[in-house]
This record gives sequence, C-alpha cells and structure tokens, in this order.
Amino acid sequence: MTALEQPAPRTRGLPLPRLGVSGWVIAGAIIVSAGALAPVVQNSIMTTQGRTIEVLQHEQKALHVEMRQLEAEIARLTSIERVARRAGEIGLVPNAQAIYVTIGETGPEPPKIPAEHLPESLEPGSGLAP
Amino acid sequence: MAHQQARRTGRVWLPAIAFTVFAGVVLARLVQVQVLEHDRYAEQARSELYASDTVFARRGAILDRNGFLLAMSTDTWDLYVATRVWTDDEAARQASEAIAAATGHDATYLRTLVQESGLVDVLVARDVPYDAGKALLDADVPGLVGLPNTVRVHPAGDLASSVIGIIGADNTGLTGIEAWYDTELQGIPGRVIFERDTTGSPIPYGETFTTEPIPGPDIVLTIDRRMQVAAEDALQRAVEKHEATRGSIIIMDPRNGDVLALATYPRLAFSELDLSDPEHVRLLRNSAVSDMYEPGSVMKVITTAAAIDAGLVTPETTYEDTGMTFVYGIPLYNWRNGVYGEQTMTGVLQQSINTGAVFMMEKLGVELFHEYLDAFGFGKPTGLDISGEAAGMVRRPTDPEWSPVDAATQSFGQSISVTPIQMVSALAAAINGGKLVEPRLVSAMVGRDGTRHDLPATVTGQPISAETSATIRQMLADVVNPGWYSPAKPFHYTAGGKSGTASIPIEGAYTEESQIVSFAGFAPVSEPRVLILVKIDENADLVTGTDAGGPVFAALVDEVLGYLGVPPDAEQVATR
Repeated sequence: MTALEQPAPRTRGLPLPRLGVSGWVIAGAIIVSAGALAPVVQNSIMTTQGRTIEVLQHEQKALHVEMRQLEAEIARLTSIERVARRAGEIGLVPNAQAIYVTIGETGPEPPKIPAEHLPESLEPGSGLAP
Repeated sequence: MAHQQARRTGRVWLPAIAFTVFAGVVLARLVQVQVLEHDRYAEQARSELYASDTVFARRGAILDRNGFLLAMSTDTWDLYVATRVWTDDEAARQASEAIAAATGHDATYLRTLVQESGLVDVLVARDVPYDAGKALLDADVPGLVGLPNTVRVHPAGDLASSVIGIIGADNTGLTGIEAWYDTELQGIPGRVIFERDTTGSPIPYGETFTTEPIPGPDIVLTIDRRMQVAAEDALQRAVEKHEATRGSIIIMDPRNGDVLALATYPRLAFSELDLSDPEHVRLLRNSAVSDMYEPGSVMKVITTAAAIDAGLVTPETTYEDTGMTFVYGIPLYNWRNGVYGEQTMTGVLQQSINTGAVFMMEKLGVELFHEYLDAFGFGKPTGLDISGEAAGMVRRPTDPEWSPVDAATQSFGQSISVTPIQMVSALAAAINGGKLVEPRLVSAMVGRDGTRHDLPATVTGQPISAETSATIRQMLADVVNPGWYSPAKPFHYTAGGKSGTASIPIEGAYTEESQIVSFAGFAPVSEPRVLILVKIDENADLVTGTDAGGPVFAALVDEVLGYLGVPPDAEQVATR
C-alpha cells in the first residue's frame, strides 16, 4: 500500500477564546466610550483655548496700556512748555522782532498730520488744519 | 388540613391611597415647577449661577485743533486691602511695607487705616501708576486687591485748564469741556456676565458673555495750543504789570466763531487743585464766560453799528460835543470831562466820546436800540459749548429798576452787563459781514475707528447788513490808526479796535478808584482773521483800556497772524 502523500496540516494559531460577544457589541461599546470621552476632550480643548485667549487678552491689555503711556509721554515731550525750556537750555532765545520776506517760490511741505485729526475736506498729510 | 383564609379587609387601601395622594402632590408640584413656572425658576437659577458687572468705557481724549493732546486717560490701579487678612500682625507689616514702598504712603498709617476700619475691603491707594500697581499685584502681597481705574493726565500741563475743566473721582466731568461733553467723552459702558462660585467670584474658564464697551470719542477743540500759550503768557504779564486782580483774553476767528484761545488769570492749576480751598474752587469757574462786567466804551461799536445800519447816521455825520449832555434832566459827562467840539461819528469812536454815543442812541430811540441789542445777542447766553455761561443783563423799560437814563448810559457801556464771550460774539458780527455766529470750543469728534465728525459752525442771525459791517471795520481801523500815536497799533498788520474803561459800580455808585479796562480789536482790516478781546480787572495803576489792553492786543496780532502765515499788510515788506 502506497502511502499517499498528504499535505502537511496547516499550522493554525492558538485559538482565541470565544467570549461570546459579537463585534457589534464591541463597536457599540467603543462608540459609547468615545461619546462619553468626547465632552471631556472637548472641555479640555476649550479650557486650553480659553487659557490661551486669556493670556492673549492680558497681553493685548498690557500693550494698550503701554501704547497709551507712550502717547502721553510723546505729548508731554512735545508740549510747548518743554520745547521752550529745552530750547532755552541749549541757548536759543525767542525772536524779538520777526522780519517778513515775500518770495515767489512755493514754501516747504507743511508738517504731516494724522488723517483722523484732519477735517473731512482735507487729504491726509495736506498740512495744518484750517 | 383546613386552609385558613385571610379575612378580607379594606385597610390595605389606606397606604395605597396615601402613596397615590403623595405621588399626586409631587407630580403636581413638578408640573408647577417645571412647566407652569418654568421661566421664573429658570431665571432664578440663572441669577444664582451668573453675575454681571459694568465695564466702563475709556474716556475720550481732548485735543487742540491740530491734534495735540491736552487731556487723556491713562491706566491706574485702585488698591484695596482685605481687612481680615491683616489681622495677622506679621502679614500686615510685610504687606504694608511693600505697599508703602510702591505708593509713597507711610506703612504705619496704612496698618492703622486698615485695622481700625470696620469695612471688609479698605481703599488704601487711589490711581497708583499702572506699572507700580501691577508689580505689587504680581508680588502677591497678602490681602491686596487691585481694581483697574484710569486717571486724567494733561500732557501740556495747565494749558487751557479753565477750558478743559476737571473730572471727579468717578470719572464724571465736573467743569469746562469735561462737563459739557461728559456724555460723549464717557462713551457707552459695556457689560460682562460670568458664572460665579458660592463666594460670588468668577469661576475660572467658566462661561462669560461680554458686551464690549464703546470708548468715548476724542474731542477736537477749536483752541490752538500755540495761540493759547501766547494768550496766557500775555495775560499774565499784563495783569502783573498793571497790578490787576485778574483778567481774560479771548482770541476768536470772527468768520466762524472758533475760539482759538481763551485765557483767564489767575488760572486753575491741575496739579495743585485743592477743593477744600474756596479760592481754588472759584478758579473752577471760567471767568471769561461766567463773569459779567460793564463793557464801557467798547459798547460804542455796537451803538454805532446800530445807528448806521438803521440809516440814521453815517461815519461823516457831525454833532457838537460840549462835554456833557442832559438826559431827562440828568447830566451825562465824557470820560475825564473831555470837550471835543464838532465831531464826526468816526471821531466819536476815536475820542471815545460818551455824548456822541448818546447822540446816536437818541436818534435810534429806546425801542429800536434795544432791538439791536437783542439782535447782537446781549441778555442771553451765546450758546458757547462750555458749562456755566452767564446770560448777561440788559435793563429794559419793563424792568422795575428801569430809569429813563439807562438807555443813554447803555449806549456807552454802562447799566448793561455782558460776559467777555458775549462781547466778542457781538463784535464778531459787527465786523464779519454782519453775521452773528455762535462761538464754539469744539470743532470735531474723532471716533476710535478714526472717523472724524466735523461740527458745523452755526449762524444764528444777521443783526446788521454786510455794508454796515464794512463801514464799521473801516471806522475801527481809523480808531487804531487815528493819525497820532496809538499803543494798539500792530507792527506788521492793519487792525481795527476799540478800548473800554469802565468804573466798577459798588453799591449802586461808580468810583474811579476801581475799574475794568479792555481792548477789543481785529486784524487784518481787509479780511479779519482774528478778533481779540483783552480784559484786565481792577488795575491798580488806573491806566485806560487803550494803554493797558492796547499793547497786549498789538503784540498778540503780530504773533498770532505771523503764526497763521498771514502776509503782513501794514509795512513795507522786503521782496526778492
């Protein structure tokens, strides 16, 4: 009797214990868990972003404060009283008698004034307000 | 075996009924709470969970006409101390020393202040500079709580202080522009609604609903800081030179009523203001708009304008001055009993002759004369946009105190009380083509988004014709250039004007020992750009309005018109 060659038996892994739980139940559990975790994650993200916003708001507030302090400082430094005092310190004296000379050429550009301080009828940088 | 059967009884229904009734009551209550009165309980729950607070808007700044800052708000802290924290002596000592070092207060004083107070939180320092306060708060000083606040700063110092005015501790305007435009400057407060814990404090990262406050707009004055400095300096020098008690100077653009400078002396000093001192409180009133005075001979300009406009006289009309005139049997004399003989109406203004003014008033008649006074705006506020403006006083035939002589004396500026701004407003109408323009101190408002809203100038009447106005201009030019020396004549510009020297009535009688002198004029003559009133009160040297106010006027015209770039028109100018 010729022994028939039989194919080697296919190796099979260890059989998983069957828990008797269907895939639908597992999927459902995952979905429920995810659903339960979602508000926590969302809350965490919101809290983090809230903190970031708060930090940025503090920075913005600090910058506004600094900006206003600088505005006041510029105004103080450019006040006529201070300019006159500094001029005196460096030896300048008020002109006792102005001499007017009429010339036939266009004068220098007037000082620029920010647009918000100009009347609507004037273009920005067009010089002194009327 | 016999089975014993329970005896039927109705008692089992008792608990059943009791439970049913109880369940019914509970159900009814649930329906009441959750359905019928849902809104009320929901609102109650919200009110317990949420708290709200007002967020005050930033107060707008005050700028001069060219955009330079005169008043603005900067951030500060109001520092409070929780008294229960300072019951521990060591903590109180450390905290008080830290606060004292930053604020300049005395540490012992702070401890006493807090520990003797019956309050939960005690204010220990107001308006602490932002950086210093923040450093203290970041250092976690025990018991220290900081509330953000703002303080008004004046980068140009006390310049135009009587115009700007002051605000109170609650950031509400009390005087000046700060008071008149308080609603606009304050902006619109916002509101923040937040979740709170059991102590009422906001829950960190809890729900917050914020309505952002809308900052107040910046207010652009008609005041020019350069002219304001010139006016204030000139006024102080004049008051000191003539040993006067006070004074005021107004510079106005007669074309549109823009007040370019308004100076009063003595003036309010922001940094030294002490509201417990009556003298300081008095300075809060702007004397150029609140104080009345008898204008004296400056009033002759109005009388002349009325008589010419009515067609009753011309500049060349003549009359004979004898030094006095009788009105209802009462003699009225010229200043210092001068006698001038035959005079034109121009001569009346040049020599400031009282009898000439009475001559014109008598031609007008009392009724028409008073109609012109009304048309020029006397006896009522001009409408200047600042708090505390007085109406002035014009005695009329219907008044119980009326005397038939009053109209005659009113023609040369007595028996009539005006404010300096009222006089300037009337004179502007006399020389600007006859238009009565409402004087104003604010020309525009600038929103936080940079949008500028210009406020239009307002013409409220036409008391005289343009032709009469041109005639008055020339007559007043002849007053400043009479053909002899005039201290009121500017060096570089043509000008017109009139002086006034009025005795001060004390208990109904005039005395020559106390007077108010003034000079009002304009320049250039052809197209007036500025109208200037210089008023000096109770000058001890008793010089006239021409001698005291004239030189101030002349110097201001040269300075101000030069600054405005107006070409000189009164002297030979070098050309190349």
